[in-house]
Amino acid sequence: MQGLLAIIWLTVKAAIRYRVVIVLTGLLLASVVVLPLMIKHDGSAQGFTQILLTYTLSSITFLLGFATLWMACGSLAREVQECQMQMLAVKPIPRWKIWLGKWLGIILINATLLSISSGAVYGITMWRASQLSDEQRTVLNGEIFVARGSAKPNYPDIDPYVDEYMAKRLEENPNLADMDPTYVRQQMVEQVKVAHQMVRPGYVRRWVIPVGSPESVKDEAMYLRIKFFTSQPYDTSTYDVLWEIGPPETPQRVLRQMDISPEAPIEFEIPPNLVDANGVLVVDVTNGSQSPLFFPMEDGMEALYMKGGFGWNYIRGMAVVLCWMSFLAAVGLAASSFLSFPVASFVSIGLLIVGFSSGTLTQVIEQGGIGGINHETGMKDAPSAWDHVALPIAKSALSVINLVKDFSPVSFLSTGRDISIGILATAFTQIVLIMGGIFAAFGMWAFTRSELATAQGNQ
Amino acid sequence: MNFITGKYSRYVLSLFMVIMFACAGFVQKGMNRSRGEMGLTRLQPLENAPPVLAFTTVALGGFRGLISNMLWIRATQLQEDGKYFEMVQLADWITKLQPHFVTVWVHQAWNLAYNISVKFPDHQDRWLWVQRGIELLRDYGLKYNPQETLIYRELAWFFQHKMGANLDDANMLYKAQWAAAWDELLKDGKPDYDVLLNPQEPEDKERVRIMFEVYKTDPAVMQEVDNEYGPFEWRLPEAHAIYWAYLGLKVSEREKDYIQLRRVIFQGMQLAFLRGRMIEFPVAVPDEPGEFTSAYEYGPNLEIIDNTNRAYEEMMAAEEKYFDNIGTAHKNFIRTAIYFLYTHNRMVEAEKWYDYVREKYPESIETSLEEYVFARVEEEFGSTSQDRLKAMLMGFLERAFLDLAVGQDEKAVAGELLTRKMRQRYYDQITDSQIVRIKLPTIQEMKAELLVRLLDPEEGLNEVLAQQLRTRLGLADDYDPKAALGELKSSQPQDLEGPPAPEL
Repeated sequence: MQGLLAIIWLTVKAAIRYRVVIVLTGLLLASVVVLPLMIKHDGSAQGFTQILLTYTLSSITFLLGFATLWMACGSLAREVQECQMQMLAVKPIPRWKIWLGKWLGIILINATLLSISSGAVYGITMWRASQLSDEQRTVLNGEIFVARGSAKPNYPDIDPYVDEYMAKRLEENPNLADMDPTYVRQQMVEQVKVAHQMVRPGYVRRWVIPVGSPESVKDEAMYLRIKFFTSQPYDTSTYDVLWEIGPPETPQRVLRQMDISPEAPIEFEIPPNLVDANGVLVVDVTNGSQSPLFFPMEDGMEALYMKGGFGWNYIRGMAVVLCWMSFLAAVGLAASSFLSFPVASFVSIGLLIVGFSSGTLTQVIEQGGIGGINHETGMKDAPSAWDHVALPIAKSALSVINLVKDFSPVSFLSTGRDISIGILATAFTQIVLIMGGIFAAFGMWAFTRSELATAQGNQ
Repeated sequence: MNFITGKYSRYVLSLFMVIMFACAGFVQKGMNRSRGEMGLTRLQPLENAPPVLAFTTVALGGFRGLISNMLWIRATQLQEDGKYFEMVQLADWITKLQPHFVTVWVHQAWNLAYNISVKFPDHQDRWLWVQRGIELLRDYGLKYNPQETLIYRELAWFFQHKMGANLDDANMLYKAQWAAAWDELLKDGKPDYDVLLNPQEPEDKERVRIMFEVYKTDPAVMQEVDNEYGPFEWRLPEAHAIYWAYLGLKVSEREKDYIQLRRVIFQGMQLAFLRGRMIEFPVAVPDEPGEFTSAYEYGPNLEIIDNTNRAYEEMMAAEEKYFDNIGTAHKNFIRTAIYFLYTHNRMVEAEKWYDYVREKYPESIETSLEEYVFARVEEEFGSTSQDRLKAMLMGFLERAFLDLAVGQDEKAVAGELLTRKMRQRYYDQITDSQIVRIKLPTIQEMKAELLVRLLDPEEGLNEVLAQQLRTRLGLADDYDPKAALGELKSSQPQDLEGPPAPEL
């Protein structure tokens, strides 16, 4: 343990000696102070706070991410290159411990820098909020400076309905059997889903959202986040919708008429105490327009409720960012365990770019291959030999990348969403233990096997 | 050689660098001018650009397009996700990466003012986005492209259509906010040009500064617009639509697009004619006893018929290619003016324009004045145009008031009954969901609005008639029409929670 602590301390000392800590602290604080002076926003207090949080935290993540990769690559590869590592390796301490010490040292530096810079962001945000009017502060406290939980309606499992419907349709029209079964099933799925999504003109549809214990949300304002579509693509008109929210046939039920626009989520506040004794929020939607409205099962209806305070949520969000930094440190160290500094930096950044291009991988999977697609269906008609290789690779690469990327702490914080302990634990497990662990194991193995004496010093 | 490698080398080189920068600075302006004059670049060098923008456009070179594409993709994705708070910043970056690409400015501003604004159910939120769209064009687009006709046209359209028309549910809020902002800049709601063009008092200087710096509006140009086409009510958006279109015609170079600006002018004038007069009245602030705020109603501005007519004639002369199109609009305008004048009891003027239109467009009216007006009334009876119908109903009520003042009680009652029936007919034709957006004032509200004007010592009826009207209506000596209108408005339910039942 003493040896490990010594390596951690050496790593931290080296970072301080090379002025990495001072320069980075300066850069991070400058970005936190300068960015709010430059950014333009919609003019509302919540818009400004959201963009302030998003841009400052994103720039901190970006700066710290690149610095971490650089530090991780430099800390091992340069020390080997400059023959400092050889002095250390002859001490009675196993190589894996040296590697682990370096990793933990970099994590410690990151934790310190992240605390300073995110603390500054928090301080500036709170200070700016304190300058606002009471009314604006109330809005911020309800929508952004809060950790809101999310509840969605429980839809029935549609698979049995789809099976039944498909069997019926095949019986009616045997020609369907000649078509691509995946495509036919997809069409059936959409048709069954419509029954749960559509509100016809002049009709009412009820959504039942299980929020949880009514005591936990007592006297707290809630928000409905809704999204709907019409049959018109790129529709910018507004539709008349009447909302009846709360337990049916009770005095606390509220009515709200709204002219709302489709295709993008809309969030609006609803009064507290509308959840019934069973912890259920009932939402009736009357379509007062002339067109059918479709509320998708995935994100058409969502209740947001107060779950906790902003401070702890912010700390949990920063902890997720620290998990990312730990992973990047592991990547950099693993690369520098067997490569020289320039090559290790190049490889690490290359891996990052592949990670950022997950959109392309998703597209390949959605389209069923690489290359030209049928613009009618948006898919490849017949997969080529390349596609048989490319698809499994894209799928596995994406699932690995998503282990790291499936968390959005900055987005959650700027929209007042709860980053629960569960999310944090999942992030730690997936990003640090699994992904970081894989790179760490490889790095330790490579570093243990590397012949340090063959390294050519440049002094 | 020692200068480069010796002890003082860094100082010498730094000094050399500073001198070179200074020299470059001196020749830069001339080089930019020469580049433009000699046609060495497809684009004119950027003028008025802040250092960051100037640096970005030069330093990024061809990569500007790539970065711009990334920003477009991000903006689209965020918009789909309903995350709008970055959109103003992204629009700013995108336009600044392509500062001479006019359609980029127009698209981004449209997106903010039209597409994003309607995503917000709260009308106050919508207003923020409409303002951002206007600012993008007015404060930045025109700064870098001061001669681009399309930007002037688009800006004028935002005022005329987004704020001026009633297609957005929040249009009344836009109008009220704009009116309140300009009310502070004008004296008694009107531009006092003597003061605005030569401000002496600090307060006046401040008003002019805000006009120039915030609204980018020059009082001298406002005066030109008023002289040419007005007088306008500058608290209304159509006056500003005409202002920007007029300015565009003055400074832009693309003559083939002038017709778009001319259209804005005559359409704006038509709107100003239909409802270009504002009636201000005090309204009690809810939950604050004794506190009042200003509210506004709109009525027809029959004073601008002469100037509107002249504007049409000039445009027909200037745009021979569109002579017939503008002529049709001109003819329709005069026809509407005739029957508005008639229903507002301005018979002499109605007859004057009747003669004019018969002479200029002989086929336009082939019946007598009375027959024509009655036919139009019948036609309007089924109209669902809120502005036109309100103007006409106000005309009928005005006639009823005048009949009352001169003792023709039966005629007055008949006129009011007809007004009520026409209003009811309008409500029968529109759907419940339209009522909030295109509702008509109640008869009481329209009467109260009319009394504000008719009893105004300067603009209203002569003293004898006004006194007779007061007596016939049984109004107290201390009756204040503006306060009465405010009281009436405050007592009306604010129909934000659902459509009101039509009043009869």
